[in-house]
Amino acid sequence: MGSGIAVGHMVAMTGMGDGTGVSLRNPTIVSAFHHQLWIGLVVVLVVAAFTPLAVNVAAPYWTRAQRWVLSASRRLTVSWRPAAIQGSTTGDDEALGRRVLRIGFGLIWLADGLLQLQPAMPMGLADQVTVPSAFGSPAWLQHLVRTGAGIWNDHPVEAAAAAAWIQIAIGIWLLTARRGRISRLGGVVGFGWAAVVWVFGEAMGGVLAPGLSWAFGAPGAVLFYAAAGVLIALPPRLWRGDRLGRMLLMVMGAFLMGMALLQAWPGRGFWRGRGGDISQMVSAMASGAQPRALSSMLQAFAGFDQAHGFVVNLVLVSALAVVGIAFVSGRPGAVRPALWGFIVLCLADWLLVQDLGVLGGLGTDPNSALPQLLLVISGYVAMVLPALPTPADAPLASTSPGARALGKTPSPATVPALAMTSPTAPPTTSGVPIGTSRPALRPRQLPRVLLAGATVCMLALGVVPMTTAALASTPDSVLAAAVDGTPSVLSGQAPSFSLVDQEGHDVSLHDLRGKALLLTFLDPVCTSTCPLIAQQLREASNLLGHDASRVELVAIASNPIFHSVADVEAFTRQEQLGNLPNWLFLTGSLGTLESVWKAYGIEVTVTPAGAMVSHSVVVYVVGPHGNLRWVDPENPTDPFVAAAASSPTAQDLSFSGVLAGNVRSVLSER
Amino acid sequence: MLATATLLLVSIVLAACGPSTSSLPGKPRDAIPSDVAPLASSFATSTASWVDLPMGTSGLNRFWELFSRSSGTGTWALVTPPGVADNGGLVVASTPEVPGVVAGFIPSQYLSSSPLESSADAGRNWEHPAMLAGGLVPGPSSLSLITAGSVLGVATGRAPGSSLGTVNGVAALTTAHGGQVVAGPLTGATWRGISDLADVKASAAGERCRPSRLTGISSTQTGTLLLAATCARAGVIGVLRLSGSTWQLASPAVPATGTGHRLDVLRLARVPGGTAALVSWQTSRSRKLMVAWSEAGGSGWSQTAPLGVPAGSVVDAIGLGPSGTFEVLLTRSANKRRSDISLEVATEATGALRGTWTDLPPPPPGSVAVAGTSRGGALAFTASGTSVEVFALPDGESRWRLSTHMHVKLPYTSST
Repeated sequence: MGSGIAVGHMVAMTGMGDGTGVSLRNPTIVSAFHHQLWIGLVVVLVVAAFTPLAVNVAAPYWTRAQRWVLSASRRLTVSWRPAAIQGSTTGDDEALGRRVLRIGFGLIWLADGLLQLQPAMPMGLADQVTVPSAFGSPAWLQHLVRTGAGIWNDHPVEAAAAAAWIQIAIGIWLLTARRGRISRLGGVVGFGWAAVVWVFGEAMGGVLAPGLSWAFGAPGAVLFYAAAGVLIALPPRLWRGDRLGRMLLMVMGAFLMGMALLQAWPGRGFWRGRGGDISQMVSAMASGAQPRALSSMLQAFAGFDQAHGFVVNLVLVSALAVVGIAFVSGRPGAVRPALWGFIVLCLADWLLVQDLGVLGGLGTDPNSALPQLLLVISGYVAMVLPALPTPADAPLASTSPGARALGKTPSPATVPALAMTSPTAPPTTSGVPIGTSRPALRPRQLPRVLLAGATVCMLALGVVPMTTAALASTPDSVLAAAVDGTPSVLSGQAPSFSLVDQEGHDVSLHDLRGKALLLTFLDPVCTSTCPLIAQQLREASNLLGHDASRVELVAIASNPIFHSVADVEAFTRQEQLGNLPNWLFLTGSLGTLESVWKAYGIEVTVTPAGAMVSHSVVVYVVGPHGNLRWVDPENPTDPFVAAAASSPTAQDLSFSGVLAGNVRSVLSER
Repeated sequence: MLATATLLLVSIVLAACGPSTSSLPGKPRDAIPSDVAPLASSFATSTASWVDLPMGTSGLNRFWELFSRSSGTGTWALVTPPGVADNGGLVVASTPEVPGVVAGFIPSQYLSSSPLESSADAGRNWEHPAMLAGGLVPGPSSLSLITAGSVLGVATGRAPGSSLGTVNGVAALTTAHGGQVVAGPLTGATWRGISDLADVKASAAGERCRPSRLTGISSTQTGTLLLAATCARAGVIGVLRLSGSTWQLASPAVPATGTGHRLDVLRLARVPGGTAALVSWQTSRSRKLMVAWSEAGGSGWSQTAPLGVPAGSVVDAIGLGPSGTFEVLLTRSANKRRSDISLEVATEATGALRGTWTDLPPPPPGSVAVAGTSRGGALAFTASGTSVEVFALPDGESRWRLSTHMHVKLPYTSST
């Protein structure tokens, strides 16, 4: 067996949305995605580089504007004041609880955004993550999610790049903007985007679907992101004292008690060990791509749960209930041990059930355990280590005449010039007197100004294309380029194999040297796509005319259950391919087939509950010398393909036409 | 960002769809269609109870799910055999004497063959013993286990690697040649065609029955094949027995009310100690149901008196209880209002039928299958979307009680 090849492939994931007929790592799409990201990065760098200059240029105008606002506010006696003025009176300290939230969720958003850069994200997120997350939800929610997924699939490059930029921007924003309205605005932005992701990306965390469980991540990690955004957006005065922390813990406590009740509800499958929901979920997580040690640990836990399912659920229910009650009580003496217990519980759940959230597949968030933990820790810190009230905690902006009389309104001469343009404005005690000609930007402010410019630019790079994509009525043209079957030359030789054909004869890749191959992977008992692909291969052979004698049509079984010689022979008979002299449907032992699948980058998954096996759908074109090309098939069930196949003028555009053209290309190679 | 969300929301157009109802309009007697045997079924093996029912919506988003309840555990588990889309339907062959079952997939979309899978442990693990080149006839009786003897020398001895117990082979009824009986061992590809519709028509039994279609296959305890057919000749019940290489009519007696009517065999199956058939016919005033039972298989039938149910009633599911009972779920469609009826009749392994039909209380709305229990009670299964609920009716009680709720993560759109 040759070394594995890293090629793209379309996973015909059953039950995963409409599908676009484009592989997860289609080179055209991946290339366009990388191109988009690189362009975006250059724009971000340029904008960031020019931001200090822009700040200095704009500073005089900005200070004039601030002065105008101040004078206007005096005239109108309104309560609004610029952030810089507010900042100058609210002190320099950020409440510790808020800081925990801001930095914690800033890091999570940043990691989430960076994971959005995976090459498979444009073609994979909608069909493999968002649409499946809606299974079991009400029809209207599934419809909603599918609509969002459709928009994503129609504009995969723009959408994926936009999502990445937005999330990276939110992360940087939260990490760098410590206080003031700009910092709070970061919370609002985080909340807004989290709400979008929660609905369209997580199908509301499955809260409307059966099987809801705290252990599995309900009600969705992103809902906690949204909650954190709201908390970060709250006025600083609300973070003073222990009230907010206590309330946060009480809300989380009530939530955990509700989750405990759901977990304990009879007949929901959690009390069962063997065949129960928990062991099944853990087993499923263990089967994902991950380090062996982690997989072994999950399998061990699944085995333990199968044997002691009742006990495991009892412990979980009890822990959730006890922790919830302690949090609701609001008593530090009760909350402290409960917090430690909750940390252990969350980490255990994160490790043993949620499988760290991001391993394998296209997951980007760490699931719900860590975000919950951050919220609770933040609440606890806010409760036991409250920030002391400051004079500025009097009603904001002196809404009462008394407050104004106490001198809360600052002198216009001390308004800092930069504070409104930078999310990282320095303490305003060092403000520059308005009207002076000194540059507004000082060297130590430069890094933050650069980051501020970059953040704003990244947000724009996210929001604008995303909005454009949502409004566009036609799919992106890059999809057409991706599905037209343009062959991509791969370096290296086709991985070797040694299998048997539908008549039981041994066939190896070596035996087929000297002929071009159209090599694909088919499920002998597939009910939809595979028979169509087989017929497309036959049609390609017909289109080749005399050249067909120099081509072998090779299918390799891709069903781990149905892969006997009888199975591939039955498929051959069903599709009436037995009379084709160049048709080979190859199979072998499961171990041998798995090696071939791996070498050719084919993913095969057995999906339960009456679904056909899902597998990668790709056709390779192998030259007579074993040089490998591949063609990413368009969806043969697409009406356009069917129409093209029946129209001589459009035949060259059909899938079979593209295959035939690619074969001619490799046959002409020396 | 928020604008994006708003735009996404605004772009949603919710498709309105509502449940459709249908009624069977009154038709002339000759135009009354043959009853189609329902696929939804329940049955029992020596170690477990099973139910095979439809879930999801319709078409390619309808999935047939198989549940089993082992005698030891007492809890239902989803055990649908994996690896094949089962939108077309799932047929399961079993007998009360052995623990193993063989499941066959009814072809759908582009698949024209019927993959088979077998399990010896109540569905926890499945093997793939064979591929049936011809597609199974859609019906609960199109697949049967042969537990003794041989069929024209084909099914002999225990198949290598088989862990199903004393199962010698499988007989199946396929759609090839207008209906073909095939038999084979559990493993390997040596299936052999026994007869097709033309053969049956040409036999002596065929001349009396004039079969229009073959609807089911079964075997007796001694390995004799029995065939169910819809006879075009009125007043003949299409149960045929393979004797040597020819078919003989082996029907139960036709009751007076069945004379002159076309009689459909909805289920032909092994029950404890014998073979039983559920026969149905439609008169101008009502639908009649009758269960016949034979210890010898094809001779010496005992039978219930015909039971009249409202005209237009459709048999939705048939259950074979572990103690030899038949449970029948009917839907009555009248004036566009549906009401469900469930019935039960008991057979006895020791001799003649106890022979009385029992009206069970109206099953819970949305029932799709019924089953008997070893304690004399009954179960009703409702399916709605991804949820299945099991209602129990203890023996002697008059109220269904919810006993189990299950959620199945249906692979919607997986077959599109």
